[in-house]
Amino acid sequence: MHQRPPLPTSVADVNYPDIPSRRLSNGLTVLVVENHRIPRLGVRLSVEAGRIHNPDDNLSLIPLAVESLKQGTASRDAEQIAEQMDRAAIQYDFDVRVEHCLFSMDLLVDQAEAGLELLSEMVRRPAFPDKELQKSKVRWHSELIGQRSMPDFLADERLYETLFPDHPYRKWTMTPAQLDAAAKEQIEEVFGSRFVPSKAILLLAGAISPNQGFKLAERYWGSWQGSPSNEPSFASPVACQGRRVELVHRPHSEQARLVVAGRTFARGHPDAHPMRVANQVLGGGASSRLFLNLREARGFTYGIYSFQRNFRHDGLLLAATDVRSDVVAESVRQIFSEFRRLQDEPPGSQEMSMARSELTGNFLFHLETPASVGMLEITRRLYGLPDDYFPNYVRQVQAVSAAQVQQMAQRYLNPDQFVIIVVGDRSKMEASLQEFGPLRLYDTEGRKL
Amino acid sequence: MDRAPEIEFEVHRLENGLEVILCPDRLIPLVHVSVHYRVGSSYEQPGASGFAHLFEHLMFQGSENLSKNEHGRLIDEAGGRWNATTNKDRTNYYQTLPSHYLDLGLWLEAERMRSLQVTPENFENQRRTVIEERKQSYDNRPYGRAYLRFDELAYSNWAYAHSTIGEVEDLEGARIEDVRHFHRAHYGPDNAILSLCGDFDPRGALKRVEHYFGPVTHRTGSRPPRIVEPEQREEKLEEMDDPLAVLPAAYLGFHIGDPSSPESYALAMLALILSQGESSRYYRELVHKRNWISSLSAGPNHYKGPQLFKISFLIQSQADPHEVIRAVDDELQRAAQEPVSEQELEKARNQFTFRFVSRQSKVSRVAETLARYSVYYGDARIANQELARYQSVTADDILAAARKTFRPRNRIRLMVRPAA
Repeated sequence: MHQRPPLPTSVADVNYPDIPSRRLSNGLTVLVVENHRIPRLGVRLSVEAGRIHNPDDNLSLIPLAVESLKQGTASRDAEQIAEQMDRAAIQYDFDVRVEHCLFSMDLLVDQAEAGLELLSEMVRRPAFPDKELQKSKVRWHSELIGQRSMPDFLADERLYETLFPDHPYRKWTMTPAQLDAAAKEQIEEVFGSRFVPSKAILLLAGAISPNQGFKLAERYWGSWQGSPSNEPSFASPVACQGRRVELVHRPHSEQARLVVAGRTFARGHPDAHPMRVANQVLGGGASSRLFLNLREARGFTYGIYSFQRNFRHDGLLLAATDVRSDVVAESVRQIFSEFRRLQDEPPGSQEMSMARSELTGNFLFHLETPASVGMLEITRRLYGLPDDYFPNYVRQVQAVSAAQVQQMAQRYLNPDQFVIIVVGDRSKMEASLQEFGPLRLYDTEGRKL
Repeated sequence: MDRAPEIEFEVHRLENGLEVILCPDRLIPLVHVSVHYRVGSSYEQPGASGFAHLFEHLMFQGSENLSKNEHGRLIDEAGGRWNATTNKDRTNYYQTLPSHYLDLGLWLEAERMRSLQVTPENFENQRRTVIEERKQSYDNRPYGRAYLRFDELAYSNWAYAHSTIGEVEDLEGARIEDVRHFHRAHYGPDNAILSLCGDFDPRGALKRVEHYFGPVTHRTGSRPPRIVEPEQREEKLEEMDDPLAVLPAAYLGFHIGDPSSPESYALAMLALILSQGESSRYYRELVHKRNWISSLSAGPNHYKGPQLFKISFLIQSQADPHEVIRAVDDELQRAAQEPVSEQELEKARNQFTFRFVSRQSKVSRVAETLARYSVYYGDARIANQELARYQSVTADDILAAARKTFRPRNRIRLMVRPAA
């Protein structure tokens, strides 16, 4: 029997594919990723209309606008749209994210024209029928109620409000009152000002040639009109105000949701690659330090991971887990001790090589489907990253040194600047959390107690 | 679509009984290595619920040549991904790797198939981890306990009635002495399917497989449990409180045959007509028109043996739960009385074609799909026959299956009341 694992055979080259692009005369950017492995096509339309582009006093407007597109156009009502989508077996999903919204459709390539025609009509000629708007409101009311039973939602809500108190990034979820107040005219206005071709990128990814793709784009999107209103200017968020604890009392909880989070930097920051490796060492996977400590050594949790979320103007790093209620405070101590360990000494060569390989491997997975490659390119353009950002990604990650990782930990993993967010039954943990700083208590409605 | 592409693959069997599925796909330098063992929670004994899944965790805790967690670490160092899952009927272990690490994946899986070693300390640690997993996935989530309760209520055979995650007291009572026995009894080549998909030459890959797995020779003699669900004679009805829930929810179930039965195919088509997409019957009537329900799912529950046709949904706060459940059931009765339209059937066929093609979008999905067909249908080659099988379901087939299935005495209803 072999005693040690076999060595890898020769490495296959990974080529980042060419992604031909074209800008139509109305300003719409079109990307095509050609890949004929299966007769399927992914369509993605990204529009710079995210959560943060809602007016301050109503976070429901852009989500309602996006939902309305399915509910009627100049020539089709909601039932007809649904019927045609399902008949063509089109899987679709419209999602409002932080800084953009994304319309996704996946379909068999022989339905490409049907799908593009439908999507184009929905975006270019929406009718915003009032009857459907009222129905959406009723439906969403229940969803707003339902999400307050979920620990991860409650933690995320506190996370953004705490880290970005003075900035649009705090805008996490609409309130029922905002939903009630949303008027059709307001929805049309926000739609008209942001859903315009010059703020959009259309991706066609799959069994289609660039030529065919550009032709289809021109046919169905060439006449899309509209010009953007003035771009809102967002100031950089102010720095975080020292460590504190935000406890959401969720009665009957069997466990505690724990999120430890701090601010970092915007997309495209020079520290992005070193920080990516630092995060991988800290909590990027099931061989990372946080996982080996809290799960494999202590059995506190089923899993713990750290993540980065980077936006156009700022970013954050968070470690998130669900732990036994009686070990929340000890879990926080262990997480912070891992921060300090990374600050105190650079990771060893094996750990570094693992982190770099994991990131390289994850990148390879992005190249597996044409739609996921295309999404990298959408991201690159959305955040104004350099042309060679993804083609050079692997080389950049491989070049990160252990000293740089340590430096990242010293720069961004300061436990005194992290907020601790806990969702659980207060009676089981409130006292033990006092040691970490001033504690604010909330109920599951988001009200201060 | 005139002709959906078939999956091209080979099936071999080694002398030690290992079934080997090889599906070359050279578009990108990745390979997916998957091992399915024919053992899941339905193989457990009363008092030992959750052991098959706990055992899955232990498979990462070391073997003769590997220390605790080294399996995952080696995959991570190669830039791969790995995980494992357990359900009622099988346990699967998988890794997707850059293809020049194919040998590593094979060696690792052969190593733990041959020589698992678990220390008392690691056993204890994983017991605690699994108890936290249970809380995170079920006990601390709204409707989590209802999800577990449904099978207990519906099935009278213990094999399917009890949960895969297991009862905490059974997990507390699990003994390390049972680990070796369980491994000998189920984790051998004669009870496993190795499925590879990705960037390799099949002839070379088969040689590598023989090289690593050939020497693993112990025979498990594992036999699937005989799972018989006696005919249900009267409706089962239960209501439960969920202090974590804020909306009422309901689960309906009906006993149906195993996945190979004609009615399973017919009812899977009906499930699409009822619940797939915003033009489906339930969506149009109960979501769009009346705003009564959300988070709807419907269809066979995909167990290897006697299945349930299961419908679950949340009930909006302004609706009357009893009225909603009646409306959901009325649609089933309608399906048992009048044939679905040709238009609806055509739509469902298109949706199956899309699903069939989409399964081929990633090497991981292909490898897992082929192994699943071997476990559940006895032959991976059936994966390629599925599309034709679904396409040939007629409106009369659906009508007959609905008639046979949606009878009150064959029904299970579980209602969840939220916190006041």
